[in-house]
Amino acid sequence: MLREWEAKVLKVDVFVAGSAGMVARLKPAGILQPVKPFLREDTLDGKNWVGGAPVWVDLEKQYVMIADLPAGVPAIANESVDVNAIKTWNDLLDPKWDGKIISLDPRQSGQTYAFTLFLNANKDLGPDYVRKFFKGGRVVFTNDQRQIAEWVDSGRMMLGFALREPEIRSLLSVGSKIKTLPALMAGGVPQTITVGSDSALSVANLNPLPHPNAIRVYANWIYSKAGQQAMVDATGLFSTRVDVDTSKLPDRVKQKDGVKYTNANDENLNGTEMTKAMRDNVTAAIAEK
Amino acid sequence: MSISQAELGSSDLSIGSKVKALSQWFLLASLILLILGPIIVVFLESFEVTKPGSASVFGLENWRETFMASDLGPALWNTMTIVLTRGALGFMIAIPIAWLIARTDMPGGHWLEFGFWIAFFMPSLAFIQGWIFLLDGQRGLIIYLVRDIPILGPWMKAHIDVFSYWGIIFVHLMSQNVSTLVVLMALAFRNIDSSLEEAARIAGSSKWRTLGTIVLPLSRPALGMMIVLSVIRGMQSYEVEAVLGTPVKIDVYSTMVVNMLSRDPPNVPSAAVLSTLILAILVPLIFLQRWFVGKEQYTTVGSKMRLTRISLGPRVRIISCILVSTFVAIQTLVPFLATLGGSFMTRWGWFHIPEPWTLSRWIEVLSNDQFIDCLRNTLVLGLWSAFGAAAASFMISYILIRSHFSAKGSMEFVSWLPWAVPGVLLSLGLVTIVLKFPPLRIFYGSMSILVLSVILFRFPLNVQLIKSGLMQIHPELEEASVVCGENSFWTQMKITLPILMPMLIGVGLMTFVAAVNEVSGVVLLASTDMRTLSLLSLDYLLGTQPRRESAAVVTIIMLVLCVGVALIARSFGIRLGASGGAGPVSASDDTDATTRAFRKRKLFGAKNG
Repeated sequence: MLREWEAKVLKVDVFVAGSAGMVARLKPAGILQPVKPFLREDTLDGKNWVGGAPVWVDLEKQYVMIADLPAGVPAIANESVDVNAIKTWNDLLDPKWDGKIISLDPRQSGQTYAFTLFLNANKDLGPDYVRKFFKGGRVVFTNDQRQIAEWVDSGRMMLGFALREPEIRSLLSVGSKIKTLPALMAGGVPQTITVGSDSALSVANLNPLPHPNAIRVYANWIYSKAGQQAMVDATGLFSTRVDVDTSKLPDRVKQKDGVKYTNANDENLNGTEMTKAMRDNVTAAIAEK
Repeated sequence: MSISQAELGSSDLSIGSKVKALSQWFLLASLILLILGPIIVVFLESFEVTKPGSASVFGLENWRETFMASDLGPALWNTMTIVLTRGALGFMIAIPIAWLIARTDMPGGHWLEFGFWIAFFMPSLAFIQGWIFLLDGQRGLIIYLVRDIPILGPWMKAHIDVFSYWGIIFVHLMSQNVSTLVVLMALAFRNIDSSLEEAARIAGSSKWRTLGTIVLPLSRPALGMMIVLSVIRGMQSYEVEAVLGTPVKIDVYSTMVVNMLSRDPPNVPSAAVLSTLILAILVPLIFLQRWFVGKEQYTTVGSKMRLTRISLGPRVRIISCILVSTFVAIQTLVPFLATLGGSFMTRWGWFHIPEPWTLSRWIEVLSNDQFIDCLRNTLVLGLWSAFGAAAASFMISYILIRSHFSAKGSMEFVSWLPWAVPGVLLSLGLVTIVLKFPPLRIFYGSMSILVLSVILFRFPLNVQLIKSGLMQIHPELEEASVVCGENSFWTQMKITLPILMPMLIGVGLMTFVAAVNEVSGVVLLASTDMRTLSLLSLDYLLGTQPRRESAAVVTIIMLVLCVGVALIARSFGIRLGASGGAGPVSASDDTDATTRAFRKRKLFGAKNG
């Protein structure tokens, strides 16, 4: 996309993608323009959104809006694991889990990346925690979300770190007995992240735009009640729009009182330096003996 | 003939030679631009240390970082041991099978060869899923079935697991490693005159000794190419190692490269450093291959060529047939049934759930708005690539073998280079060039750039295959045609091309299959309205809601497409193993072609006086 932009052949109207790519790479390169002017007043009306305002990913609060913010499940566990015994993030450092945790490589984009960014930036956990967590290859990496689910289900692995909700939902729907871990304690408070990408939207900085009216229609629809309901029904992810029916969603994706949620899509967390620091820390941790 | 006529003829010859030489230089320049251009782009990327948003800066930092990486050493060691082990075992299995198929009277040889073609058509993921389904140490069907058998059950549970070093080797052997070698070797083995074997037999040599002392040495051009092919493709093999190796900490060069490219942001410079390393390994290999082939003559197809099949004897015929059939059956049925079954399952491999079977995946794919477009694009891409690859490879090979072009060495060297870097990086290099030069931008996202990339990625194999075939054809056949009055162009059309036709069809089919299955080479080049079935399958695998079962539906359709094209090729009388004839090249083919040239001369009279 960056190369298309430089060559002036980019033909995109809107971007729907993870926030890391959008705020850490596309926005600094000048590829994005504010989506806010394309949105109607009723779309932006605070009374439609949890917390009294729509959620913006970027610091300027006009480039990338997001509406799917499900609570992230820290890990799934094999049915033989007593999940009640895992209460804190530090419990995951117990040597009994060495070589028994499977995850995607956090240096790639995805939910593992988002969770590790959160852990690395968290004042109660921080880089030291990340270093211990990934030390010496105690976490087994795979490139396949489904392999995480299947290996934890079969008992080859005991914990699957940062698995995405659609894969959890898919496995549970066929009768798997895997368990999910709730938000874990750090600094005396249960903490986890909210993370989304299915309705994080921005507009290409093209003049003229290929289809400006289509952008208006799509952006206002995806953030409308009907658009968010369609997103919730299709993905099983939580929407921050208040008038959407989320009653059929499992509790694990809903935000609860008393839990501290970090928005993993926020530009404060996804900046270039933060991302590099996390990646370097993980690389160093893996190399440790 | 008067003097003036002779002078005119000489002048014509001189102009013709100049035009020929110019066109050869033009071809070389085009190859350098198309192949070396993207590679140079990748090479330069390895030195780029530019920070986002700032001007381009070059340095050695990426090289230092990559060499300091703690996982590089183990990954290169794993790569080397896997490549050598699978290569050695692959040749040990493939050579006798190819010989049995191509040179002996083993019953059903043609159909068995067709079976290897089918295995060659299967995507890697089908093999991987199939063998995980059977040999997963935790849930594999075979482990499950033998669990209660005393001694065997516990032993297998403790020692058999596809997620291991030997699991990786096994899946490689049972997938495209052996099938590719058998297919290529059978093509080469057929181009050997039986009289040479008969002479060895009369001199007291056994059948197997004849294979070692006559057939294999005469196939050195093809064998040399296949050894390089085996090493290079082995280094770039990704899927098997990624699925079976990564979770048990067996990383290899290719998984490192892909992991670097998958990072956020993609670590293209480090991936380029690793690719440059592979380029450094490839260069000596090319020279080794040339040394291995040497300057000896390998001409085996001449005007007196005969192909008779060696009699194995009744017992050996049956035993060999049973063994090869079993191998083919396991090799093709396991991935096919696994994929077909997976496409009808609610969740792949989950038989114990209340409703394990469903048609919904097929309905979902067939009713997908994009499906018909993807199918049409795939067919167009496959057919254009197949014809383009066969034509381009023939042209280059002919220059390499038959012409006196002074830069032949450079041309051959360049023709190997597309394998020097992984497909996705070559694709990135191609995209960069197309986007950097405004006149080329019209090709961006078009079918022509996809066709070009598929042809480029298959170039080394295709050129080397046709080249080894040409080396085996005696120039006397073409000389006979020229003596009979045909010019160079029609001699190629009527003599060389018909003899090489099975090889050209093989090259076309392989390219068609590659085009249908290609992902890494086209993923960066395809625009949203130029999707292929392989990319649709990728969308299902990597989408927001990953659906491996829907991807299996697309895989089955791709497989049917490839087999269908192979069958159509057969129905047009192309001898692809199951022809019922004596194989792709028979004595009658050659004699008929030469005779036709003679007859034509007689019919139309001498053209040159």
